[in-house]
Amino acid sequence: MSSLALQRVVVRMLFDPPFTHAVLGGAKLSELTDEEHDWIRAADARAFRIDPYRRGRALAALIEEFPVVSALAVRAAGGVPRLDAFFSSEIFHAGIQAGASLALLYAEYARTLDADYALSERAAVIELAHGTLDSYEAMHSRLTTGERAIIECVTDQGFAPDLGPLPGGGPPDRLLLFAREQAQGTAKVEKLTPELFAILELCTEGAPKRELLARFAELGANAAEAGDVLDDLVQSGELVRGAGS
Amino acid sequence: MPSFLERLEWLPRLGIGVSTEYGAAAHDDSLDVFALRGREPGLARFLEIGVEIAKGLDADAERWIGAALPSTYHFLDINLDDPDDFDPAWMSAVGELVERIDPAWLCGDAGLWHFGPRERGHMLLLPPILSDDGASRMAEGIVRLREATGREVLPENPPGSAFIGNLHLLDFFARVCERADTGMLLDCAHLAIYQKTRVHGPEVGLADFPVERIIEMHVAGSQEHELDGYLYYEDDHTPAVLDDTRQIFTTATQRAENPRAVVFECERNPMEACLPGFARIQEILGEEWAS
Repeated sequence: MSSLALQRVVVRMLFDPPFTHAVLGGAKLSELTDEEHDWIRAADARAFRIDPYRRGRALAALIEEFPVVSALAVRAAGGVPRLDAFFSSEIFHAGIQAGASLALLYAEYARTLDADYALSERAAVIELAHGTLDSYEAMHSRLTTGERAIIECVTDQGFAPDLGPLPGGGPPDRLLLFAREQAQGTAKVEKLTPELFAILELCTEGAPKRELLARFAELGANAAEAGDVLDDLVQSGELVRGAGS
Repeated sequence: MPSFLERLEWLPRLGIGVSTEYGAAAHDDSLDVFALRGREPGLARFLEIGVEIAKGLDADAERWIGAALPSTYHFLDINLDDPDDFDPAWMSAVGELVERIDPAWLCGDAGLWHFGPRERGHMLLLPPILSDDGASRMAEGIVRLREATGREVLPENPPGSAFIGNLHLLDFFARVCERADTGMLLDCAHLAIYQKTRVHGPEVGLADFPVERIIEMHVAGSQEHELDGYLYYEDDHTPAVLDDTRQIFTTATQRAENPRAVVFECERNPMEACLPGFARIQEILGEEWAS
């Protein structure tokens, strides 16, 4: 691993005493080597507690930055302790380890406070007129011959005079838009079945698992199948586990 | 490129100076650097300007620069060991400010100044991970900043309450300085904090440190606190300098071969409270630093 990963673990320990207790007590972290575990366990647990107001100050700043979503969360989700629990959440720990913005992590946490699953910030589901994606791809394919510049093909009215039918006249296209990690490319657009669209749409603002399972059941899937689908979607990054999970 | 020890001849001898950062002089009982320079010019020969790019320079720093007085640029917002922290916007802003300030060199705590991106609520200061890998990463960052700004970049040992890693702090910085081929800003107060935290004597490790690379030294007060029996030390820049800090400073002064600058960090204290500390520093430095 690297000193950067270890440094980020230290930051997480400063904000989360139960996490510190677990790490110093022997919990294994996948981001650290055995040697790095030894280094960190050599530290005195009290050294991580010398600023007891660090977490409170950070939470106050986040509440000031996101007053409305915080107010909604406080009222709907059981008071300020649920907000304070952000610093012990998977969203906080995974995000800090990845070098993310604390404010954006908090916003995601507050948004999904009562959700087990939520659509990733990098994903969106949309409905377009029937055949939009197919029409676009067909027209684009006719315009890109590889022999002439695209600007010529577009402006030459004699080239490919019939680009194909315009979309419309049937059930809407249901699409998933997903911005990939940089290393994997830019973005993907994927057609969704009506069933999967219904599930992902439910997750747009975050959804509890029981609600999703009920919807899966309506669509004819049992709990095991539903769990597999949700796991796959989390694995591929389209869904994230919410603060409630 | 000449080696650092060859480049040394281009570094001016700044003498004794004081430090500041944005807003430090705003309080009534803060040190007025201009008043100090007027009364005791030898104690404020230069100003170490602490800079966080997001905040910029305050009125006192602007006034000092406007008077073309000697200065150094102390960064407060770069994680030297993280390549992603050298984003173009920050690099560009630093470049412009360095041109304006025209510092003798850049320096600053080589630690974690912020986690994640530079945002509100992300700022802190943690010591680096004291490992060989960490030293190499830090050295790469120093070289990068030096090449980008055209100025020497001197790493400073940061304070902390928990030091993680398998190297002694001085061994870590010896590796950093050697790999980056640069000089060192030895913060004697921070080193005393480290030694006390690790339950070492104040001078442990100094004998093996490449003292020819010590270019600048800091002296500052620190305060001891206790939590459930655990002693820790706050780098509070009061005039109350720990005995261990003074001992480290005395030994380092005797051994350093190429010192150019000493800062008494006391920017948030009234002048009268700071003068005895300056006198002790002058006494340790001796006559040759008086002029």
